[in-house]
Amino acid sequence: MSLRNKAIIMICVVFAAALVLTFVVSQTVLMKRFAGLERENTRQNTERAVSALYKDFDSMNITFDSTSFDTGSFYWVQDENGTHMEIRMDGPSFVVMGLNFIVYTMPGLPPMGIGFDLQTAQPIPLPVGFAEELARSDNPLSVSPQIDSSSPTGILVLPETTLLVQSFPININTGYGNIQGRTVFARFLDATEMGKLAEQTHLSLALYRWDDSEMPADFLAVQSRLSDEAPVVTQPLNKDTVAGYGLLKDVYGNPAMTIRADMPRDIYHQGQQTVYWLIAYLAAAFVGFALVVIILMNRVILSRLLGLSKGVDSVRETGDLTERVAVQGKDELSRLGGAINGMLGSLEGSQRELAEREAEKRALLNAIPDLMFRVGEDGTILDARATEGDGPATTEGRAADGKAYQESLQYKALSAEVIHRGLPLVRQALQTRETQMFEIQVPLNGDTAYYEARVAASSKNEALVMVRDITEKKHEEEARRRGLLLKEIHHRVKNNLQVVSSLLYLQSTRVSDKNVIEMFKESSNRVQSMSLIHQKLYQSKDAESIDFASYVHDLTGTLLRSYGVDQSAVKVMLNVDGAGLGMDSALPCGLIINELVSNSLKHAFPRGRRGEVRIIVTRDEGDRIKLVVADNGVGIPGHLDLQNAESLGLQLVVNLVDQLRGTITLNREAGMEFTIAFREARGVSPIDRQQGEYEYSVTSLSGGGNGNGIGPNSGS
Amino acid sequence: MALARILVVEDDMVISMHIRGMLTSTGYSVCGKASSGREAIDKAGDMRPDLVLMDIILQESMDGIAAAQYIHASYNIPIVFLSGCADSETLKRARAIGHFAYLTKPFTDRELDSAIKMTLNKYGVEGQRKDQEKAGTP
Repeated sequence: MSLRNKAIIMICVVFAAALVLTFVVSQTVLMKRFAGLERENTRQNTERAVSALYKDFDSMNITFDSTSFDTGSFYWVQDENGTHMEIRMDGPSFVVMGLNFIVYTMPGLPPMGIGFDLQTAQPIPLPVGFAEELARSDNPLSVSPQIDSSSPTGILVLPETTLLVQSFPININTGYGNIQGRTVFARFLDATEMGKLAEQTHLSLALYRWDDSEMPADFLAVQSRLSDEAPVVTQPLNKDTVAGYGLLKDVYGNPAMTIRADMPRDIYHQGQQTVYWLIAYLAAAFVGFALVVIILMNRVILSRLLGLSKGVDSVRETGDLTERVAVQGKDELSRLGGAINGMLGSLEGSQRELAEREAEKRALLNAIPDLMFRVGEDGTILDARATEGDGPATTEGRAADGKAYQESLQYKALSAEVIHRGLPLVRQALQTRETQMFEIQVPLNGDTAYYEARVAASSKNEALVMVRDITEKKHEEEARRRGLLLKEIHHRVKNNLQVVSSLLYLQSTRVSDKNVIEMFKESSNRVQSMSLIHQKLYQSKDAESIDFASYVHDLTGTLLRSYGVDQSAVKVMLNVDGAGLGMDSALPCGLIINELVSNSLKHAFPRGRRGEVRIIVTRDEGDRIKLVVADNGVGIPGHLDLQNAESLGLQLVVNLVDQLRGTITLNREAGMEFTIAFREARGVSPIDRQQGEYEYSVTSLSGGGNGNGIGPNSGS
Repeated sequence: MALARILVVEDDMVISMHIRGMLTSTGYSVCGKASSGREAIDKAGDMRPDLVLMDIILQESMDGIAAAQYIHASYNIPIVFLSGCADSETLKRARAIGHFAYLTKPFTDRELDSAIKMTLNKYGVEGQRKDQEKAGTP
């Protein structure tokens, strides 16, 4: 239920409750007041009816006085014993006086009287018990006039009827003598009498004897409440009629009858109507108030509050934290709006910051080239992530997305390995909470790919396996190992050649023939030239090609010192292409230079002749190498035939040129100039030719580590 | 002047023979040979040669430079280093001991002779200067 509906209902309930309360209060207070008025009115009316009843006797008294009832109106005969008495009275007198009975009581005589029915205009006898009642000595109606000359009035209840009676004293002298007694007038207190009374008082009256056994229930109910102190009580009979009950006493002062006067409840109805109108006016006023309160509350509070609520809802639905709620006025609500806007502002800031951090994290994650597997304790791959964009190569090309990647051979091979070999490590990582590592070797595209896998526990029973492609690193490592091994080999070859050279030297010290010594020296130089090649290979970066310029420089230096050449007389000019030269070409080439330069140094400059030796090595774009060894010395004998030379040196040169599949030409114009041209055999290193053997040695190396003493500095 | 007495330290005995032959033929006296750093230190202490020809790379754990450092520091004997390979790191370590000659194999008897002569001369001058300095201090 909305706040607005709640407020409306609340206001309506409050006003309705106020209305009900007002109704109840006014009903209680006003109606009580009206009930009092009604009671008073009823009481007065009832009293009026009672007094009207007694008023009849007053009029009777007047009639009695004016008609001089003493002698004229009756005759009475008393016999001698005074027991007989007669009333002479005609009908019209009864009618005029409105009486039913006239009775005379004389002391010592039985009461005597006559009756007349006013309706039938016929004489009637005295009612049963009337005479006996009048004869009672305590009856105030029969008291001697000498004792009491008043005219008592009252009600006399007889067994069969009830009479309204009044007695007057008689004390006159007649022909019969002095008469003393009382005249008792009586009238039926019956329906006729009551009808007359009702007509007179304009009231609806009812009368019941006190001892009437057929008395209605309401009479019975009020009988106990009637007393001397409360001679009149009132009682509403229904919603239209109220009754007043009056107590009538007999001549003895005992309760004789109850008279009831019914009246319409005008006062009550008027009061009721007044209350109703009051409530109606109040209701109208309350409705008006409620409307005003609702409208004001809606305008001042509710609509603004709902506006704030809608604003917040809108932010929640759209998720757009740049939205703001409307702020109006200067009160608590506008401060609340301001506070909400402030919170939205800081939320927006936090969201932006979060997004930036998320982007950073994503960038970081994307920057990690590793493949990632999320592996459960039981060895199921829960998730896998290939690197975005530049994924690893597969047989089906490059994986465009994760799904395609999971189809790839690489993924299949790797995931199988991760489960097969990594599962024990996953368990170990989960147990120890320490990162585990292992390597994976996967045949891929006819080659072997190497991966390094790290296993880290990511939750209680999940581990993250990060697989990094280390194939390149492996290859580099292998190349480095191979380079180190090659260098070691070259070092050892060089040392061995050094030993051979030393052996030749030592042998030469045992002979005395200069020619033989010379031959030893030449042989030693040849070994040295080869040794130098291995030294240069050993010192080179890749152990596969040498800096030929440096080699030629060192070689010629060694030769100059070996032959004890005066370097101020004979100069060596070098112009050697700085490019590296492979071992296949370098070794024969070095020997050729050794022979030709040795030849020049030995023969071209006899007896201190001055001159120079030139060595030029050039290379054209087609890998064709031209080697020129020349001197400006005495020159070569004209009969020399290169192909059929006798000297070992030249034979070696010619044969080595053949080995190089090159050509050699000799120019004899100024001194001598040998030009050798050949094409360098590229791309096939001795290592590559012996791939199988090499791989075997790598395998044995990696199996045993470096503990077998093979290293770059372990030999001399 | 008496023949300079030289201790040859070289673990390859053929090359050691070669060097000793060259020294003898050039006119030096070889007072002894050693094939390890430890042996070189012992023999240098016993024989007090005028100069030690020291191969840098020796088979045992102590290399030529370490042995040369000890010998030079203990007995004030000049050193000529011999090596098949001369990388800058090794040269730096060798130079740290003193300004001695450094010969790269292969070398000729003339190169050996001039290196020894140069070192002995230089050492003689330096030795004299050191002696003077010692005398000058009270």
